[in-house]
Amino acid sequence: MVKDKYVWLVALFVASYIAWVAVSGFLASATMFSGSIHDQKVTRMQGISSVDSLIVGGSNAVYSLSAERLSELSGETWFNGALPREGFTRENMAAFVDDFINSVDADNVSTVLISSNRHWHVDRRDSSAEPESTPQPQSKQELGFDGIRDSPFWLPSKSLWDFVSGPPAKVFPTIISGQGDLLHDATDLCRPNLRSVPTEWGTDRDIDVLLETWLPLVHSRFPDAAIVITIPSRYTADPVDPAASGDYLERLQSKIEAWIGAQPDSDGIQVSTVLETNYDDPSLLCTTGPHYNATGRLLRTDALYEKLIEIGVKNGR
Amino acid sequence: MAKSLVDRAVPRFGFVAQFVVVVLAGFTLTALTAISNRNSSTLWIDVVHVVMPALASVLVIGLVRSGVLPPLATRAFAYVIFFSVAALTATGFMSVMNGLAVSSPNPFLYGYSFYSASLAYLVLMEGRSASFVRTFDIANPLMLATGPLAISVASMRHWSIRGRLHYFFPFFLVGVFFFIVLGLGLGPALAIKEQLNLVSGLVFGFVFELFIYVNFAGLSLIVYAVAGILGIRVPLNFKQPFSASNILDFWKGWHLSLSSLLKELFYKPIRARWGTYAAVMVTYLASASWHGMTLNFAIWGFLHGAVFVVSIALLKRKHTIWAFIIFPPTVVIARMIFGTPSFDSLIAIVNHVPTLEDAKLAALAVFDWPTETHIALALSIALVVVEFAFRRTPLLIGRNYKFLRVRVTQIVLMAAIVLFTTGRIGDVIAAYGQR
Repeated sequence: MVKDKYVWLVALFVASYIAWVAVSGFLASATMFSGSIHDQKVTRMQGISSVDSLIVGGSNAVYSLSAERLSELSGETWFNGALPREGFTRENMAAFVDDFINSVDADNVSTVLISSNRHWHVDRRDSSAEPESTPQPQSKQELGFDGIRDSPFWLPSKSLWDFVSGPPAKVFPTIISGQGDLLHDATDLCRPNLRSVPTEWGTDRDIDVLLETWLPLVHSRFPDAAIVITIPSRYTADPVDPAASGDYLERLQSKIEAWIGAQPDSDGIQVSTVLETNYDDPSLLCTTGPHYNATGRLLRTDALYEKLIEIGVKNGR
Repeated sequence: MAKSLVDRAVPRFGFVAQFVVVVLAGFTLTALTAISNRNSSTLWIDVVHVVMPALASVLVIGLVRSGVLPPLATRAFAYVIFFSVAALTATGFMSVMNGLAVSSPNPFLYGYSFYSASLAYLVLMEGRSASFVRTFDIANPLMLATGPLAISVASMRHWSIRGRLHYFFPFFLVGVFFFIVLGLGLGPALAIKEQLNLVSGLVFGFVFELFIYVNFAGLSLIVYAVAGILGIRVPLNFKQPFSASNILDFWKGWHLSLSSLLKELFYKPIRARWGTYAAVMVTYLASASWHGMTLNFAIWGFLHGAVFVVSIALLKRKHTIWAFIIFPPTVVIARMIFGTPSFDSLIAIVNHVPTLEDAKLAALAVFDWPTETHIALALSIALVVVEFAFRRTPLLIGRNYKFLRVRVTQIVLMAAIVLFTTGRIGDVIAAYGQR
């Protein structure tokens, strides 16, 4: 019999810690915005038998691209597999794509559309500045952004203190449609981004990071699919400088060619780029963020589909 | 009472046993993480991380033991090993060590700065009598992953496992509290470095100093405790550095394994020839080069060296209050310089005239930190204040965290760990480790 009270205290501490790690893990995915989207997309994927085209990428595609609309336009089955913050981490996104492959017939996927906002350089000096038109957020947690990263398995996803004293966790209802689209009307979700939109085109290093993040992952999981890297449409009052965008596209394409050239199966790899059309109509935007609302999403999706036909990735109906 | 198997094994196989235990634990953790992330690619990297340092240690020890090198060349060899880190960062093979770039970009150079420094010390101090057994602590993954250097390591033959647990477990708990509750909590605050202006820079310098302290001291305490429980005594790498009233006292408690090494390699020989002030300056510049061959580190080393020299002069003249006044700003400004990613960024900070808007932006950023970060900041500041304010009381005068190891504070620490730990903020990183 151990008589030392300290030993019992340590045992109680270890047991409490392990118990909270377990409980917080269950609580986290149901009450985190990002976690809810992730989990609901996995569930929706499992309800689809075959997918022809897949959208991956970040929050721009979560809010502002519609797989259902693309399916209507093309007659194919599209699925929107984009995740906020591009899946929190590369490993998380890879696990998500693996879930996707396991739940549908990956061989049927003919096109993977990568829609990432990482084409723009985030200037360190400006990254914390708030856009003038954006009301100051009361708190990120209030918006449901309490889960932007995965916890290691040995740490609780949420602190016990936060659980007890913080605002009630937001439990998200069904916010993802059968094809992975965000249901804009389901709840007041259309206010995700709290920061200004970067306007400077990405540096060579930014392009490297973007390609390193996406191309190996998509190509390894869908080796036969045509890959399209789209530069997402965005709200901007100023017209895009064609010289700057041309220079960026040239650098992007040369990096893509270099990447393809370095692959052992380079002959069979098809990667295209699309520069989407921008809009200067603020009524297309979510109330406080740079992503599009349901109307803007429709406009962007239609215009993107036209571009996919233009570059020959899709044939139209 | 018959001794347990562990008690009997420690004197004979202590170094080997703790190496094996640490390697097995490391592989288990990697495997569990790989299963959790469904990614097994990290497993082979672990093998490289274990094999390369061990191989390098065996080669270096073998070379000096062989007697091929005469005594003077052996000494020179120690300096070559030490400065190889500077050469590797200057040529771009290794990243700098600013507490932010934490991972080694090259798996074959994992932990190189740590085991090369330990080897330099071993070669200098022991020369031909260096033992191959030292490979097991110099190349110990636990040390390489966290940062303390493997110098002055000894087997504790006289302590039973029960005695070791009783003494070392409270250190473990203090380390976990530092690293997890305070370190992870402070993580999000470091993003303020992105605002390149002096106001935010100073806030960053202050918070980053706290972060490096709790992160590195936390891990060092965990290593100290785990090694102690396994029967190996490693030096206490941090000794309440803020129980100090000047910069000299501060360095008596900060990263002591590196300080001991620098003392033998640079301070002692140079002081004997050119005096204390030159020895101090060279030692800090050598330390700067070990962190990375950049102008930022050179300025950081020069600043610390200069203030150290000035403080010696002030203390000699009994101006203790002035030695105290220059101490906190030096630590904060030096840390800002240390953590700023490039010289250009540093120039941008210095050239930017502080405005009210800068202060407003900094305040907004601070306000926007998660609750856990505010709690961690408050607790970290409280820790520093207690270390300083009660430094002459019996519980703190020994500078070995006794005030955090007494029963009542241990209960508070346990409660804090259960209450405030979360993995959703901050990164589980060793700020000084792995490079």
